[in-house]
This record gives sequence, C-alpha cells and structure tokens, in this order.
Amino acid sequence: MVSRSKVWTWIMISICLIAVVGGGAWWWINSQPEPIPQHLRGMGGDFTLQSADGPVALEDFRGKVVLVYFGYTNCPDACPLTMANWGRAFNQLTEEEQSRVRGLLVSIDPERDSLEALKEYTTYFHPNIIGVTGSEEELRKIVSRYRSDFEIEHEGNSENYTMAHMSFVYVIDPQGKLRDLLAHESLPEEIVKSLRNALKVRL
Amino acid sequence: MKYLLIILGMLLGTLPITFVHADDVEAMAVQVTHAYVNSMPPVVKVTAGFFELRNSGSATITLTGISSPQAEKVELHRSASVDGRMTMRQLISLDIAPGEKIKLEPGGMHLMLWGLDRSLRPGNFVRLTLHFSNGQRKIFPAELRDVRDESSRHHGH
Repeated sequence: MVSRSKVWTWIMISICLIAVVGGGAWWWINSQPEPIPQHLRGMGGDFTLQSADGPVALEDFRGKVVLVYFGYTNCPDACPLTMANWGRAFNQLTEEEQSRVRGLLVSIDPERDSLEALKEYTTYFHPNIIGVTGSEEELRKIVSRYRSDFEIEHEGNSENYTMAHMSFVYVIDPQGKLRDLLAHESLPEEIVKSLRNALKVRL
Repeated sequence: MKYLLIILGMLLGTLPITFVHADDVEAMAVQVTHAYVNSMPPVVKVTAGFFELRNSGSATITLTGISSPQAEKVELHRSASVDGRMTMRQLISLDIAPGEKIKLEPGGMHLMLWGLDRSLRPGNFVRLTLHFSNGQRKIFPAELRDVRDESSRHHGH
C-alpha cells in the first residue's frame, strides 16, 4: 500500500515534468520559422547595386531580415503606399528587432532616380529603408532572378512615362534566402508577422 | 446677305450665353466625397489623389478633364494589378451613368498630379476642378494627407 503523501509527491513531480516538457516544446515550436514554401526555393539571390552612400550588397545584410521591392520614386500609387506600410511595420517592431531589419527599394528607373533623390525618398518613410539602383542591364538580370520584370511605358510625353512592374515584396531571411513573398498592398500587421517569422532564422 | 447678317448676329448674340454655360455652370448633380491628395517627399514630382463621385442626375455625364490652380497638370489614371503586375493607363474620359458611384482609390483609378505647389502642407487643401463634356464643372477641395499615414489596402484587380 502506497502512502498518501507519496502519491501526492508523484503527482506533483508529474505536473512539473509535463510543464517543463510542454513549455520547452512550446518554446521550440515558436522559435522555429515556418518552412520556405516550395515555389520560392531557388528564387532570388544576392546582388550588388549603388546607393547614395556607396555600393550595397544583399550579402552585407546577413543576420538581418531584408524586405526588397522593385519600384521607383515617380510611381504615384503603389510604391509610396508600400513604403508607408514598411515604415509603419518597422515602427511596430521593438528596437532590438528594428536593428535586425532593413528595407531595400530597388529603383527600376535609374534614368530619373538619382541616388540622392532615392535616399531622400526612402528615408522619408523610414531610416531603415535604403534606396539602390544600377544600370538597366544589371537591373534586368536581378529582376529576372526574382521572377519579376518591368517595362517602360511611354505615353506621348517622354518625361512623364510610367513603368509597368511586378509588385511583390520579397522577404529575405538572415541566411539570405527568400523566405516569403508578400503582396505589395500588405498591411503593416501582415508585414510584421512575416518579419518576425524570418527573424527566427539563425545565421 | 441680310439674312446672313441676322444669322451671324444671332450666333454672336448667343456666344456669351454659350460661354457661361460652357465654363461656369456648376454640375449640381455631381457629389464629391472623401477627396484627398497624398503629400510626398519633396524629391517626387508626381503624386496621387483620390475621391468618390456620384452622379445623382438623370443623364449620363462624361468626365473629360481635371485641373487645379495648384498643380501643373492633373490626369485621371487607372492602375491595374494582374498576377502581381502593376500597370497604369491614362483615362481620357470617363462616363458616369445616372445613380452611379465612381470610387478612386489606391490600386485602382486615381488622379495623377504633377508639379503640386510645394508650399502646401499636410492638412492644407488642394482645389480641384472636374470638367464634364456638357460644359459643366465641379470644384471641390481635397485634403493633403501625409502618405506615411496611409494604411488603406489596395483594391485594384
């Protein structure tokens, strides 16, 4: 016959064990990023372009999560909203998280977007957003690796042309892998969710 | 000859009236609401404006132009996103049927404003004039809003 106090001891030990194991499992599951979707594997990759403060390589940001968007400053509609939503998303992060996220606006309009203008444009939305661009040839190569494209659409007036472009936000994880693809109109909350998931990836 | 002069005189006589009708008649059957223009960083030469327009009259009206004393040029454009690809086209005119409500919104139809007055600040108003094919026009203010505060989801599909 087992004594009553011994039964209680075992019950207490069991509860503690379940709590520790369960808590550990919960922590482990939460610390794991969601796997990269099949259709994003092999897409994207490193590139080096110019910014007002010198060359910027995607590789420079290993250990950080980078949002990449192909746009241009004279894009009146989609681009500023995308930038505004990035800025709002970044502001929702903790300071520690903010130190580990960057935004890259890749201008597909190097003819009109000077590096200084790009810098002024991106920092207007958030200091963590960097504007980069390159030659049309360089840009075409990068864009095709991201399975995107762009096209210049002249409408009579050569100065006021518009660009047709693929409008996705690419989420690059700390290992430099494309982790997620967001619609450009994604709300700050959705961006924050994706950034936090990518931040779980260890370098 | 006499008849010709009379006809000419009649035509000339109607001219001022025609002018009044062509340029100064407020389109009463048109209601504009939720009008705003995005304020952009100074490096950007072009910005977007949005509003909702309702034709409460009994006839179809055709929007043929937009102007503002505070912008060099204003045009109506339509963005479309097909499989993630954003394109933009200028709309030369736009028919609005009786009772129809047209919504300009991010990702869809929008105004393009070039060379907006640099002295305007968020909270100020941009004066916009819609010109219709029947000679009527609609003048309304659109609030300048900081684009960084914009959070609406695009609906262009």
